[in-house]
Amino acid sequence: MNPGTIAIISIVLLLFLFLLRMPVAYVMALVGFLGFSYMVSVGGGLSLLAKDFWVMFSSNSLTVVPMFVFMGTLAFHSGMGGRLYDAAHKFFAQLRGGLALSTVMACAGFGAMCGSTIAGAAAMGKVTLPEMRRYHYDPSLATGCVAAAGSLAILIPPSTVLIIYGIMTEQSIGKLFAAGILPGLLLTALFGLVVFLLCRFRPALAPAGEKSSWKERIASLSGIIEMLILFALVMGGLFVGWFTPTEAGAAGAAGTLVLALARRKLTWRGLLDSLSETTRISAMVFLIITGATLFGRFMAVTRVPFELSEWVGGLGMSPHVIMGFIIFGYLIGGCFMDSLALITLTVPILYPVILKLGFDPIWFGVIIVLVGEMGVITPPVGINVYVIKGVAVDVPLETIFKGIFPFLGAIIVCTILLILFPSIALFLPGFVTK
Amino acid sequence: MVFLNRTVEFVSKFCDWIAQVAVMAMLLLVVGNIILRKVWKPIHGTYDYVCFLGAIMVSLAIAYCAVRKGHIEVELLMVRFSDRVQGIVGIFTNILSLAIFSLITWQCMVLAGEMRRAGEVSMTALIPFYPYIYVVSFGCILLCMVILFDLIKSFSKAVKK
Repeated sequence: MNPGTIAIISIVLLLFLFLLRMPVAYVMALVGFLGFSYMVSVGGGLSLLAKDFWVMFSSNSLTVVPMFVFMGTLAFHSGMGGRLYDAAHKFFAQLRGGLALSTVMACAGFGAMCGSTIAGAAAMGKVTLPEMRRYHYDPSLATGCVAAAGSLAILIPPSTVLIIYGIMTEQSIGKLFAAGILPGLLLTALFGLVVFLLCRFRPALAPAGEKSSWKERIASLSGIIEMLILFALVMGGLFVGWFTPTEAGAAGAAGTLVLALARRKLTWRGLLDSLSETTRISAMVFLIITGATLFGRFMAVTRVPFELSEWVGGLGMSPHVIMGFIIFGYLIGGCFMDSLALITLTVPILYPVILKLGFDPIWFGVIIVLVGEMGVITPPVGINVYVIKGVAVDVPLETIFKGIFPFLGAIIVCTILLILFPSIALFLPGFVTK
Repeated sequence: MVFLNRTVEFVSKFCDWIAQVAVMAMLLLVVGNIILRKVWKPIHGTYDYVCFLGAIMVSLAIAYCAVRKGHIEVELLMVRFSDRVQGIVGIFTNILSLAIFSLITWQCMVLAGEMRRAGEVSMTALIPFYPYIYVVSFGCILLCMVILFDLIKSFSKAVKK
């Protein structure tokens, strides 16, 4: 059998086992091992298993994961999301749709401390939905806006997806983080625009709230200040080259811990829960990356990714058209698979194609995150939607999905803008020293 | 059987606590190193210690992550089937999972033995690798135990009337 056929059979087997609800990381490790053993030798496959598990588990570059995850879980358990929302609420509540706008702003701010879309949606959903309900916001707008804006956490650094992409493609995590900042702000603005337009054309969706005094507004700013301090510590340290990514994560987590303790907002239970969630998420991420590494090694010996890149390069089509197909593929794939799993599975195959087409790998990292954001809110497997459903139990899933569509449109517009103007993502990474 | 299952879950949870301690240790070590290198001199071997703490953390957390169903699965199709069908499919997928993690456990033990005999040590702190590879192997054994109990649960689901 030729390597191409073996690769196709393996991918079919992989998808089949995914559908049987076998954990994605286990499947990638199993199929990677079987394929590598078939292509090279059983002895080679067996030694690869141990080598890859040891190398990945003890990898210095992967230690960045628990540090940033811990920072995010600490921010979650110390109520930093709530304080951000409180500040945004004081400034925007009096506007029509002001609470939805405050939700978008607070989600963006929370994204600057947390790199997980699930934590972003859960933290902000718990805080913002009761308030929007109190003001009789349309449930579809309220839930859709927080589910979509919660996904900003993986675009605005720190971002778990950018870390994983950086590790898999050996790109600078500092540069990837920097690349996420402007697109993150752009998408925040686009989400804000969606809220504004929806309320403009259908005022009944979101009534105006109470106006706060300037004294109250200034008092609420402390929530924003702590976010800015942490963001400046992490990103500033990475920008000027003081910190490696792991050090930036540790400094961010330590800073969050100190701030939470200083404000007496973190209980002993909260700290233990933060640690427990950190180990759970880190174990999941480490195992899925290790599985993807094994699968990637098998793909590499079949030479399929390289032949695919040669084939695509020889098609004579515009790289942007091919990129359009790739994004469309991700959009469809994201409807059926978890974004993280989809990204770890496809990056080893598609990365050589991206390089061959002449796209910047840092820019593609941001595109991957955007398609990941689409994946977490599109039916039927949009994880953020289920998180929000867990908070707003009485709102039907269809209502949440209906509310998401305008925001999905905003992510698509943001992706198109990034394709037309790659410098939105590539401007800031030029200033990162390492 | 229930007692054995609870024992595996308790051991997994206990190992997860050790993993949590490793996260805190990693945080303190990295931050301590940042501060000390500014005011005095860096902690010798920080790079190696962080790698080993990472290995301990993830190895001891993977089993409890599986107990909490934390590893990503595609639930789209299987939730539409009856418990019986889910049980039968669960038997098949758990056997495959058990097979791959048994191989990983075995091969990690082989690798640890080879590293011990060769006297391989880390670059800066000169710490032997092999004890940590045994920890990876232990974490995989624990994961195998969790999968084994999932397999038994799938069996009972499949035969339940």
